Amino acid sequence: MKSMPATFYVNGVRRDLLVDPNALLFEILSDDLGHSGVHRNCDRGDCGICTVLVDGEPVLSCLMLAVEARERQITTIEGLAKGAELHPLQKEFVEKGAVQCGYCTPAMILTAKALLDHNPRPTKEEVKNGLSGTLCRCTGYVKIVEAVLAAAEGGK
Amino acid sequence: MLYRALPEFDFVEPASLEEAGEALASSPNAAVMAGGISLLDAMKRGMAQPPTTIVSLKRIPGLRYIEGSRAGGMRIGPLTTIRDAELSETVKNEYPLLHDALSNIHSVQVKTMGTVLGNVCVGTPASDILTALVALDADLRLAGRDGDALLPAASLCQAAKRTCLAPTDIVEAIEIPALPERCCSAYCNLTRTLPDISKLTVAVNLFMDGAGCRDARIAIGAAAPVIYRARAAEDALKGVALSAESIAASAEAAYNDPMTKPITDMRSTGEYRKEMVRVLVRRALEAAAAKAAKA
Repeated sequence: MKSMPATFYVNGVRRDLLVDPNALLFEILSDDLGHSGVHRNCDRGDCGICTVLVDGEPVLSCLMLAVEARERQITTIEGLAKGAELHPLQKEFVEKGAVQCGYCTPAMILTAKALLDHNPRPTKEEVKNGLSGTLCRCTGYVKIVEAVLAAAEGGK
Repeated sequence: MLYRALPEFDFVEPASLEEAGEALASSPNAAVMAGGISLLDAMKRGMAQPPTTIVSLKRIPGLRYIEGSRAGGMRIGPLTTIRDAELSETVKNEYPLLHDALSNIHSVQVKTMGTVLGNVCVGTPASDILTALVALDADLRLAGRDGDALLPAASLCQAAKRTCLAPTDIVEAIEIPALPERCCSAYCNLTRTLPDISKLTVAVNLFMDGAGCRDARIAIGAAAPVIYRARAAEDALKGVALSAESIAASAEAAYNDPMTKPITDMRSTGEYRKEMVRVLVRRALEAAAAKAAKA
């Protein structure tokens, strides 16, 4: 197995690494680069908790080889706030109380961001569909959907 | 050295399908990868013989496309994602049966990463997409073959998750034949929860002629080790008008089909699934008949 030189752009910052082909994207982001907001959970593509954005699209970092994200823009939850200024989705999640244990929250917010980037005025049904690959075992989703809809309205 | 969930392998990124074929042929235990979801998941779960070389198609240009039309047939490339196909106006307007099946996959992340062809080539009998493709008489085009390049989607699987593809085979396109104008289809499935995989799938495609049905395709998934066409159920509709009686007779024939032998697993009992074959075939035929009546 040959390691490969790889350049990643994580939250706008260039990172040059030597990567083993068998390294998963979340192993690199979480273990090697220290992005603790990238959460490991089911580890088999069922729950969506490890979601990050690659070139703006939501992907499961537990089922993507890191080498496949070479030269691409990767967004983790750490990349959303601008300094102390929270992203509108983060603000609304706080405002609506759309967080309980918080473990799914990075993935939920990133999945919602990808949804709103494609569809800035989603209906409630579209929000539910857009988030259906990301599971929350605490909240029952009502407040999460409210927060995403509020963030969408806030963008008017 | 940090912990890695995957075993070690060499990673090859050929620039063309020919190079990919050579890379597969030159390593004794190589696997081809498109989206990677199923392969990496299987490797994580400790597959018996994990590949020592992975040949990724991702950097080959020109493999992500949907082209053609209902009138002339449609081709889907090996890197076309499920999301690409779901959002395609061509698929939605011209092959609504395929669109309906694709839309049954819920996770946006899975649809963004997974390819249509990858989903098919896993060979699971619960594939929404393959069920629709069987009802559409689709073929898989194998790269690097001469006389036998076209493999009917219905002949792909030999058993659950076992296909007739050789380790060196690369499927370079899905080819769906043209549909006549008076063709009406419907897709029905059952799941435990919406994001879960299907525990029963039914796709029907009716070729109408006046008020009657000239020919029919009824494909059933997750009721046997492979997705199959319920031939007796199709025959029950040929040359007859679509009515509550003919639909019930067809659904009964699907229920009694010798292929209809669903398993019991954590999602359902076999007895329940078998009962639901009758129900879903009836529902799908009713939905297709309603479209035929409107057309």
